[in-house]
Amino acid sequence: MKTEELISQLSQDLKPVRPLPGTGLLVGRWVLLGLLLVAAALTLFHPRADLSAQWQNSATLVQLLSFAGLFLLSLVLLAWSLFPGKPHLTIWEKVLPGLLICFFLYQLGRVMQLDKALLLEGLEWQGLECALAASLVGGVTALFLLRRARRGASVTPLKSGLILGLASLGAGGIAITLHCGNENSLHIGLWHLLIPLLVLQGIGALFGLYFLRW
Amino acid sequence: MKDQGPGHSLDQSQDETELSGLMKQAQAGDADSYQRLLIRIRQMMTRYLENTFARFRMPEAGAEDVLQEILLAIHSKRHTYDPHQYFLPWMYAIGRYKVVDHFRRHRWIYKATVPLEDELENIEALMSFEPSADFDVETLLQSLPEKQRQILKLVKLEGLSIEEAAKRTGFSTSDIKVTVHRAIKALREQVLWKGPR
Repeated sequence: MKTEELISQLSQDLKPVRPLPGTGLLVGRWVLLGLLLVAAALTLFHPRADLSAQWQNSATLVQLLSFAGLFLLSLVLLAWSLFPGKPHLTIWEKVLPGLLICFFLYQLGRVMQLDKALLLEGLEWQGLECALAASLVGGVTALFLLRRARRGASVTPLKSGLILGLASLGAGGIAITLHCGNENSLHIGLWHLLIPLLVLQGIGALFGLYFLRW
Repeated sequence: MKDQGPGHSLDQSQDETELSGLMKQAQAGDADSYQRLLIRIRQMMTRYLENTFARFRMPEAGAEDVLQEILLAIHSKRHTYDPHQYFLPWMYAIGRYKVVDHFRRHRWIYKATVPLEDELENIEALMSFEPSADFDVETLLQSLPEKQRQILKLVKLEGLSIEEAAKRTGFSTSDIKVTVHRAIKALREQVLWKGPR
């Protein structure tokens, strides 16, 4: 087909379109969606028994705020990436991995203070349940986010997929923090953070490579 | 009214004003405006593709296919144009995405100091800096360090190739490419809006 014919055809077939909502509105909707998914997960897995006391526990607060920060920042970057041609949010793109690294280092610092018995306790296979639960909540979040992200036009689909994976990790992390009563730093670092990170980044990369291309 | 960055802004570009207006009407369903828009996009993209294919020594036969892919992509993703955003960066971002896709599908291996996508951004930015009433290029160039200004003048205003500029200045071709890339990046930040809306 010649290009002139294509232009005529595209013009003839024209229908009005509903522009994608702005970044702020998209992020607002996705935050709400994430909170609903976390609430649904807690209904299923029930919140930890000592939750009300944990609001004064600095380690739990750091965990919760880190996952929440990861979730929110990733959603902003993901929403931004759906509009081609927008300037790079260079500083925010550095803050996101920086937040993850800080959280890792914080957990690592706490792990270094554990004795051998607590280290072994942190490595126990029961932790796999937490990793699975966090990955499940994160995975469901990823599916919902993917459906919405496909409406956009990311020109860096792999990067958007990885950011989507981090957002999912944030949601999964919030859910598992509110559910799991184990305060062992190695347990948290390994089963709440590292394993779900690997799983959800893998999912995000696949989504990016295969479903966010257009 | 779009936010204006420091220095010159795309708000002063006639192309930008015209095309963003047509796009808004097209999003509302105005077929005539849309046809005019696509014809203008075709003209600009044809030039962009000619420059790109020549730069990477690709066979010109593929350019028409890529052009049609770009038009189809713009058609299917026109809802992602934010009226508060500049149109030209949006258009070129889609064009660049499809060109990179085409290069990868045809397995062209481009070894360069500057990554492929950055090189394509350079081409777009160079095409934006036409000596016209829209941009005072000389004023913009004065803001650059001496080396970047000298090399960008040779490559853009005098139209030398990278190799010719390297011979004239005594710098390596890699150095010339990286310097052009840095200069363009600095000028883009002056011309285009930056920061979230």
